[in-house]
Amino acid sequence: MSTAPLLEVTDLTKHFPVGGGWLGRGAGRVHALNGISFSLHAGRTVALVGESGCGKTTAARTITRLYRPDHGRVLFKGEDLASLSGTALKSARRAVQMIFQDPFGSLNPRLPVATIIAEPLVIHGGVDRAEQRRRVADVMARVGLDPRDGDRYPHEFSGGQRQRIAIARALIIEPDLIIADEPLSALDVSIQAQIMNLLKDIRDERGLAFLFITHDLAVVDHFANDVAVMYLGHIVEMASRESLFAHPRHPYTRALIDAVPVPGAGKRPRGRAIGGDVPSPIDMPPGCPFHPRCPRAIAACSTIPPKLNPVAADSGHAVACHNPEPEPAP
Amino acid sequence: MTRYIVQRLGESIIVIALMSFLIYALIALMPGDPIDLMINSDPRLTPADAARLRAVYGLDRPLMERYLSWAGAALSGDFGNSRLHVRPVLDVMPGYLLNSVNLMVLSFILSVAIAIPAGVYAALRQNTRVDHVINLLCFAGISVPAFWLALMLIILFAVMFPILPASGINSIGGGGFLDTARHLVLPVATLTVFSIGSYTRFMRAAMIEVLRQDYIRTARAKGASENRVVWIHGLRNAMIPVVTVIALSFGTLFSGALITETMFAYPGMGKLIFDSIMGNDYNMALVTLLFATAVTLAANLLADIAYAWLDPRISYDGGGQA
Amino acid sequence: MDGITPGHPALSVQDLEVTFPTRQGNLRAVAGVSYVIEPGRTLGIVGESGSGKSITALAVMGLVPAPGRRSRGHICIAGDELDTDNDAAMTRIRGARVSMIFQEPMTALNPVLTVGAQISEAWALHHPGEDDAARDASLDMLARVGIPEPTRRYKSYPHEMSGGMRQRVMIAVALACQPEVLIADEPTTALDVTIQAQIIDLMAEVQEAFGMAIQFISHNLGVVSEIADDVAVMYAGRIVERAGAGDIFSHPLHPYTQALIATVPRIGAHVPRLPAIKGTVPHPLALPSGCPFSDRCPRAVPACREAEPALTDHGAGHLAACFRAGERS
Repeated sequence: MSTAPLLEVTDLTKHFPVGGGWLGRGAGRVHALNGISFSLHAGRTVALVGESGCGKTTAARTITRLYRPDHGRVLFKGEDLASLSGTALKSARRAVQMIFQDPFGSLNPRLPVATIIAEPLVIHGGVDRAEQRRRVADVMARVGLDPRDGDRYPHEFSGGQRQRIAIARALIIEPDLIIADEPLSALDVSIQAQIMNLLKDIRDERGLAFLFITHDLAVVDHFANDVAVMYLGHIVEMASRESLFAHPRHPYTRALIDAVPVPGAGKRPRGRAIGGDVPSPIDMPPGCPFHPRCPRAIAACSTIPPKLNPVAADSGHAVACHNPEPEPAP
Repeated sequence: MTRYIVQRLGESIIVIALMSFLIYALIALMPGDPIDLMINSDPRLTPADAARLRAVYGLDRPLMERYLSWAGAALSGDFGNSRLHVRPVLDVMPGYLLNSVNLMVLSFILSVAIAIPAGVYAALRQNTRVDHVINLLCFAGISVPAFWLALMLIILFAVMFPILPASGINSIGGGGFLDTARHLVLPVATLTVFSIGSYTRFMRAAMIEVLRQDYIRTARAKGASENRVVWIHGLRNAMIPVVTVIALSFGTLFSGALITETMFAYPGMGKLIFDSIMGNDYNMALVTLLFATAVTLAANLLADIAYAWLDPRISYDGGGQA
Repeated sequence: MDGITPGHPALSVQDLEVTFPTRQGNLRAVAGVSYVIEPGRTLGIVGESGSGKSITALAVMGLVPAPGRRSRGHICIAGDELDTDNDAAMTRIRGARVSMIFQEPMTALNPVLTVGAQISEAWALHHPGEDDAARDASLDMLARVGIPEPTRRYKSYPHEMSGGMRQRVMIAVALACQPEVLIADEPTTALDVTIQAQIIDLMAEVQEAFGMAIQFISHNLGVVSEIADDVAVMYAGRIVERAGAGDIFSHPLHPYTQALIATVPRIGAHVPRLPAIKGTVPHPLALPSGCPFSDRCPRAVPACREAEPALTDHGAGHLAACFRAGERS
């Protein structure tokens, strides 16, 4: 890509102390995020995929400065979000909006939805009341809500509608980047498709960039351009969507894809699931974090942490593994 | 856990030391001092006499100096004499303390023994008439002012139907077990009414919350009888917050039920504290208030320990998951 | 447990109806549902929220929350009819002949009791007087469900275990007495996908070992597809289609089933837009007249609003409740 990326994350690290001890001197640290790096260009969608404990939500929150990173940089339009504060941070945040997983929890139950949707306009200022009302009505219509319902309260809407309200709120100040943290997981199956179609439409219309966080690989295949697979706070594989699903190289990616049930594919053949549980992010295994469960682990895996390297020169597909799955035969 | 307890004990000692200074200073800041009372009762005292007396009692020295000399004496076990009782403080206090303990412990046992079954019963019959009646009684108990209740009980049982004594701890010339017991009935009743109301409401709320939980449904799905579900699965979990609240209210045990004791002229700690403050009996006031502080701190620590002991999810060791 | 009387299905539900009295009228959460499951077979029940799939399961267990009640229907386990209103009788049945596991392993276990004690309790409740054997039975189950170091884990508390482990414990609790029927209500929905795969494997394994019938409830078509022999699709408290798992996915007959299958994204299927079902699941007290799906159905015709289609056989045991079953939009 010749243009500079919209968002460039370098070596982002965030650890949390575990409580206890005199004066809070912790008994350990939760290694939530361990030096992840990726970039996102305008109009593109990067998906962060992983299971619970992989650090994807921590990544989203650290990128938006809800947490202060312990290490690393978050360059948004060239400025390091990690070092900004006050008004500079606020104006940078204008261009980045978030949509969360719980469509009920992320809306203030005591405010009418029109107020909720207008809030970003109010915070970032510069728009008078009449113009606010007009924009709220516009964006509500765009997400499929009736603008006349603006006086109602969140609890009067269904789950899918509440997620539309959250999307409207994110769109109203016309951000460049939307970070969506599991926006579909709490919705019914038939509603997920509706919301996904909506997100696709507005993304295409407005050229929005998305950082899409999910555990659902099928959604990723449907929505993302590039995918980063996370495990215990590390990115273990990163590739374009096509390349990742066609030729996954990391054993964890392979396990993840295999584990996804396919309707109509018949009963699951036994013995293919990888064993074990995700280890604790407090007591990280030495070397590669996946090695205790990895069917392809070799001696080096338990001592040397692998680095994220391209699978071939000039390839956009990178994997952090000492023994990745081999190149597919041409 | 031991480390945690030691840590808490250390903190408690610091708090007590700070409180001792604070209480001392506050009492000293009160208008009037023992010498003023002497002047009131004996008008022949001249200002020169007053000054001399002040020097004798050390009341003309600066606050900090007086405090430090008290503290020094206290650390070696000498808490001074009570001016009102004309005896060492530590001689006077135990008697009152014992009376308070009798009153409080009885009241405590009675209220817990009634409140827990009542709370569970109300929770099981939520929103039925029985529940409404129990709730109403609880609110009445919590709202009724202690002094009014005391007066009503006295009028009813000591005046209109004179079956119980109206005040004191022993009748003149009496002193046996039965006599003391009769004197305790009305004060215990007055105190218990409030705590029964409060504990029952709490137990009910905790139980309702617990019975909504998924593991209760699991217990039923296993084939556990409803009794087992309620008393073993339910109560065991609901008791956790309830025990904490009860342990915390332990702290009031020794500062005394001031109003009740005063209404019944019952010689307990509450009355002692009150009398010593009103009578400018510095030494006694100081020691009794500090004692109340220490007991409150102990009760808090007890509550935290009980909480950790009952709930395996709570650990003060700061470790992560197994 | 005794052997299953030959000839009887492990679980038979006939015309089940569950109603909740509300101020606006009697709400039929389950409106006439019938199915059978043979021993050793798995029936997958698919539906979204509000379809009545969970209430059906609770009705079998006699655990429908008040004020709901089973207003009609018969439930039989291995030919023996259950009196689900009789709580005393049901406590002997629950856990012993039919067990249930639930969706949230995080909250389904009692936090103040050890894991081992909870499994032992499940065994001891139905083996009165044999308390000493309970611990051994519990250790045996822990090993069977694949929990490493069972003796050490016996004393663990639920919060010390991961979600996948806890679900294994739930399965151990449910199977401690080797029931004839296991009902699993969304057992993998709260789990990560790799752990989900492990649990599905485990359930297939224990089914083979114990020979019980499984009623597997889920909104996830893929998961149901991986574990079920037969599938029933529920909508608005009714079964709208029922068939063998292969059949229902290869040629679904009911428009709702077809829409449900089409609306779920899959890896490798690149469509520009996912076909979405218009509208939302109707409130049980505000169902359209005639067929409950008629207001959202892409193939609805006036006849669909006049009468409710019955579940009819369209060949080879493939049942569908639709006047226009089998036609493709």
